[in-house]
Amino acid sequence: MRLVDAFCDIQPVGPDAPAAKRDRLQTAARILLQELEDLARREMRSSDFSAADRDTVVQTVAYRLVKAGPRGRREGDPQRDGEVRGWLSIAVRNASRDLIRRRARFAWPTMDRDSRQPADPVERLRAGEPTDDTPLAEQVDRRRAEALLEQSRRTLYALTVPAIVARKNGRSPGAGDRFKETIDELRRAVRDSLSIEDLARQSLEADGMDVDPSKIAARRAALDKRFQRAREACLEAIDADLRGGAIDEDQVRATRLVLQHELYVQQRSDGVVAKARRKPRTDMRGRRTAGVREIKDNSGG
Amino acid sequence: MSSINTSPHLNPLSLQRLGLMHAHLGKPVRVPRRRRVSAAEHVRSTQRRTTDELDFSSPNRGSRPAIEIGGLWMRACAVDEGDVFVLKAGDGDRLHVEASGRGETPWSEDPADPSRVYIEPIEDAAFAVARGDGTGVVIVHEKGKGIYAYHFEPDPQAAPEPPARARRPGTEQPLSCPAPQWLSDDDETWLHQLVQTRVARGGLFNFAVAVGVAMRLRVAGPEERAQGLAALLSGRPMPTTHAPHDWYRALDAEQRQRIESAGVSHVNALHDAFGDLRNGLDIDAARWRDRLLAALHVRDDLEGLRSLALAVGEGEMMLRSIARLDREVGRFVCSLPRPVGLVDERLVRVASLDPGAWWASMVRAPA
Repeated sequence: MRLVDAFCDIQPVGPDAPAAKRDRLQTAARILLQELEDLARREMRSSDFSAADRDTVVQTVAYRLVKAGPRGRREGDPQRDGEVRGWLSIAVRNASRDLIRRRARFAWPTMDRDSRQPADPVERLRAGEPTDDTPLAEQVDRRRAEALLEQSRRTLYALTVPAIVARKNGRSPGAGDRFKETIDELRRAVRDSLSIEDLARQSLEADGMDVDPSKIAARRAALDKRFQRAREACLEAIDADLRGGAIDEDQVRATRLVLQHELYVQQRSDGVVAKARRKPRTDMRGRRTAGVREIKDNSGG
Repeated sequence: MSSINTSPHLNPLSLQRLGLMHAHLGKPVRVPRRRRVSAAEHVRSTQRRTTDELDFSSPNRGSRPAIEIGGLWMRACAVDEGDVFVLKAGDGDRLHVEASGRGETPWSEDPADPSRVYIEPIEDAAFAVARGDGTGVVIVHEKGKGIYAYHFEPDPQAAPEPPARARRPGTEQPLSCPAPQWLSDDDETWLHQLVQTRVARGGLFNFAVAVGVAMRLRVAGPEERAQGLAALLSGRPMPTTHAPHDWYRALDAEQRQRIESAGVSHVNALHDAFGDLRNGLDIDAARWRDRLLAALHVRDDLEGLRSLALAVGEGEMMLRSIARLDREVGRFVCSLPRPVGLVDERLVRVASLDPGAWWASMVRAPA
């Protein structure tokens, strides 16, 4: 029995279950528990965790899977053993965080995705940080994961986006060009750590309009819609490439990570970045810019 | 307006089942059929549309104009090959539904908007959708002829009682009444209230949803975990853990089929709800966020049903429809361009227990 089969099929055993089913579920439970024990040893190496803590986390995750099962083959779920390991490692990390949070030993990052900082996924892989990217690295070795992310980034901007541009322009002249402008705007916003609020203000100023709260709110909503459509177009293209066999599941996952890190706007301005640059930035033409100063200069401020 | 009924499906017995014995029916209005549209025509119609316009258009499923009857708007939904409609009271009035037909006639309410309901008028089915003042619409699918709508008003000579009363699918009592111990056995207030509130809504479907929620979200204590896993590893039955699955398995086939039909209806409603959320994207607007959260909760309701159906090896149509929903709506959710930051205890629990649950990917814990 493979790990993915155990993951999909595990469920509670009732008194009326036939012997064959009980045997199968017994095997599934052993496979999952072994995997979880290995993961717990790896993920909970810190001295803050005892052997008993690791046992607790293993039992917690295993029992949750059993109680809520069978899971079946859910859309978007892991399809291979490596992907299941990635899923289980996240579950182990979540359970270990819950354990620590209950003990209130020390501050631990919450699962608040809003506080996630946009950082290059490849850099984070190199730094060995446990992140949402780690499942990708769990499935393939780290070097391959790095190469995959770089390749996916290149493919996204050099092939996928131009293909979408051409398709949109073919249907409606200019639509593809507007899509490309939106993608560039998103990349710039993320690169310069601009919030949606910043973008709305800049957009109003560029149009020579008053910057008042109601106009900012309306412009924010309009930007959200435009950005959402652009991201959706990229996701649809990636899914189409997968269905057509042009890319595989690993590449899909890697490309989605790139989208999530490079085409995803922060909720609020990063006040630190707005005041001083940590390192030089380049604009779309590869010129070094002064960042915030240039933005202010462009707006006439 | 006369009390003539011009449809064999609106004979006195049908009218009685729909609670319309003391109502006047208007003349039948034929609900427009879908017509094919080209991709270009769809794009043009979509570009012209605003969020207020109710005509339906899809390159795959054709177009169909909305109709207004008896103060209710009726339009097609963006789902499936079947005919699913959403009815909305323009003034926000709460709607009540009565249904009759073969088996459990699928319909569902919108959890975030009491003035909106979804119905699927399969052949030989009839629905009465009533407003608070007792007026409303009867919708009938006449086999071989099409779907017809009749406006109705209460007969002023009759006793002052709304002709259509709200009734949820599966109004017979579920197998276990009152709720079994294992369904009430949790020490987290929010989860206890969530489960009991759902049971209190009545009906088999709501009970099944409550079972699924308790099964998935309740956190077991160390003793239960240890005993359960020890039993599983030694091939013995697990104490209590199997109770939800046994409950579902003990329902008869028709009851399970009714639950699954209602599940499909809810999936259809979710397609429409997320379509509206996409068209009216406004991440910072409270109402948009409330509607998003309500829709995410409905998806979570379905997850428990999904597991229960898988455990008995049934529910193929519901499972397929959920898979399709996850593909399409999951992509929309992934395409949101910035954090939504919904605050919700239930979905935080889901995210913690089920890292792959896309419907729990936008939440954070309450402060």
